[in-house]
Amino acid sequence: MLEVKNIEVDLGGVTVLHDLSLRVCSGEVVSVVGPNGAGKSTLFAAMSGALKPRRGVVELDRQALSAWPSRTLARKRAVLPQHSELTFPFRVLEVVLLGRSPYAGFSSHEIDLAIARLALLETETLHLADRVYTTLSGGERQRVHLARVLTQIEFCDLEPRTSRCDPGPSESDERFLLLDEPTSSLDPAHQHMTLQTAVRAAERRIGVVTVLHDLNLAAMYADRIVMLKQGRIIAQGTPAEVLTEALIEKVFELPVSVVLHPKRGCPYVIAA
Amino acid sequence: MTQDKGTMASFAADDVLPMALQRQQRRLLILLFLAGLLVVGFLVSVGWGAVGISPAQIAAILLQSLGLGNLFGGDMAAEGSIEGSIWAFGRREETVLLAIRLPRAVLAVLVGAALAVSGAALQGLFRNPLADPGLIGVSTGAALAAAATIVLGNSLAVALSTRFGFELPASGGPSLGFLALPVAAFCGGLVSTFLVYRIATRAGQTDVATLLLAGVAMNAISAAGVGLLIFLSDDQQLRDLNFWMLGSLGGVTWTKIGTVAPFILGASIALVLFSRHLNALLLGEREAQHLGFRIEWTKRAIVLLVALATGASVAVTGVIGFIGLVVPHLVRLSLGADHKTLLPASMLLGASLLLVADLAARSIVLPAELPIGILTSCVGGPFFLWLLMRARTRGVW
Repeated sequence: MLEVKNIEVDLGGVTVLHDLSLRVCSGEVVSVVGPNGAGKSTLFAAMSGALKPRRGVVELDRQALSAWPSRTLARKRAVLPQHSELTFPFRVLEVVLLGRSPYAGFSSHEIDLAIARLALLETETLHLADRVYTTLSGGERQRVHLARVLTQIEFCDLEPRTSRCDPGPSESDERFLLLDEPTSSLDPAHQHMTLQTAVRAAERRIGVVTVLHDLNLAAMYADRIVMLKQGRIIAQGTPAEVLTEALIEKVFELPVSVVLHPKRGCPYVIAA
Repeated sequence: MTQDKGTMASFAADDVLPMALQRQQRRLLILLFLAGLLVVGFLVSVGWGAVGISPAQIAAILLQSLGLGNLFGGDMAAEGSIEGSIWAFGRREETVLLAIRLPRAVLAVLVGAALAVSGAALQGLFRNPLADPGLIGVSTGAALAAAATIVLGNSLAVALSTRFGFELPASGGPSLGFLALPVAAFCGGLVSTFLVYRIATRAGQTDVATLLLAGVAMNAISAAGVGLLIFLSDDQQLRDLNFWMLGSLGGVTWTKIGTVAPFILGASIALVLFSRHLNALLLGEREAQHLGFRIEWTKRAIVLLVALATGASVAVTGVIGFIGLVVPHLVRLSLGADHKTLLPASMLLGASLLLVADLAARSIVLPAELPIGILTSCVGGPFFLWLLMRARTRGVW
């Protein structure tokens, strides 16, 4: 379980998160939504361990993030950033193999390659494997990085784990995937592909947290939606509970109509 | 879509593994080629000059000086044996090789490798391919400290000795002791790197423009300091200073090499061990942290090792610019950005390039000798401009 306990975060003298608590269990897709400046990215940074809260603590398996050895932590949770600074001429396969860094010494090159290949397959980037990363488009780069973080938490197991057949969740095997606006530069088909990957990850008992701006994507794929405004959780629950006209108008200050998706039955948000 | 994936899977199974293997083999080949280039460059550099020495003679002299001359049938390497034999050599060849050419070539290899690997590591650390030990102030900081030691060291030592009443060593040699110079150069390099790094880094992000501008400022400050020292210096000190600012491999002795080789070799090899960290750092510091690397520790270690390797190099040769900038670029063009091959390949190519540059420096204006820093800057400056223009048009490095 990834648990945020009463954290408070200051950035430049302004309190960005107020006494915020959140639990993410393995096997669920949690989507964080909210207007610009709501504190989504800050919450994300705190959950990934990149930012130390002024007060409160973020725990993984009931142990503070800072108490985990960094390499062990890297095998249990992977983070997809919004943007990447990579400007050097790596091959795509090399970028994806960087995800295997935490396994150095525990794995062989063949295993690394096989896992990387499955991740490339999952993100539909296999045909790019031998391309130079810097020549890719923004959307292609984002998918390559998705493949990298999938490789990092062994989303694509070569052999089925015995623990998956166990009735109860095995605590020691918990893994988390944090995706910060994973669809921001993707075409519609790949936006859905990315979230379907998130759902498949959840089926493999990985806990997925994703920041999303598109409420309808959240409605379709999230098990739970967390709605933030001004550093506080305004509402959380199933898409049907959270995505109501009143709440969205209050949080986003945008008049909307919410209808039912004709095929899926989940809420569908239209600007009024 | 699912059908697509199915066909792609079968296609890929025969594809990714051979592709990776092919790349690996290519890299190995290029590394071997670079190693061969270094050996050839070494032999040419050692054998070329007023006294020509053939590779066979080199081998014979080396074997003899190691006491192995008799291994290959007694008279093979004996002085003046079988007239006309390819192995035969005279006292003159032996002296020139062992006392002049060999230490010089060994120094060129050490310094070239150190500068190139330092440049490659800095470029990775800053995620900026323009970072060069010379551009961001490591070399000039080291040179300033070395210059200060040359000009002010003796008076400082005299002042200290009269103040505390201890005996100075017999005059004639440098009274501060031989280690003072490398140590000062090292500290100067470390301090200026750290300053530039701190100025350019805010909230964990290193800003490219600030970095280069801070480097320019640091170079200007160091140049001013050196200028002041030139103003204060006497004739002998002026000659020494000139040597520092332009760089030269001349006048090196085995003792000097023995003093700096452990620093240069140790730091360079240690840098190669950071290749995985540097690869991850190219993604950004936060991403490297998410991949399980201890970033703050890594950054400090790399800056320290670069300052050590560069500072020790500058201490014996003075400032030799642009090797650290040009070499990693050339390697990246053919091998890609992976530091696992980039770092060793840079060491090999840097060593070869400096050997060639030194050969040119001592052959172009015979019987005089051109300062090698002038040569490397002549080639490196235009190369740097070309990189800038290429980056502007293509938007990538």
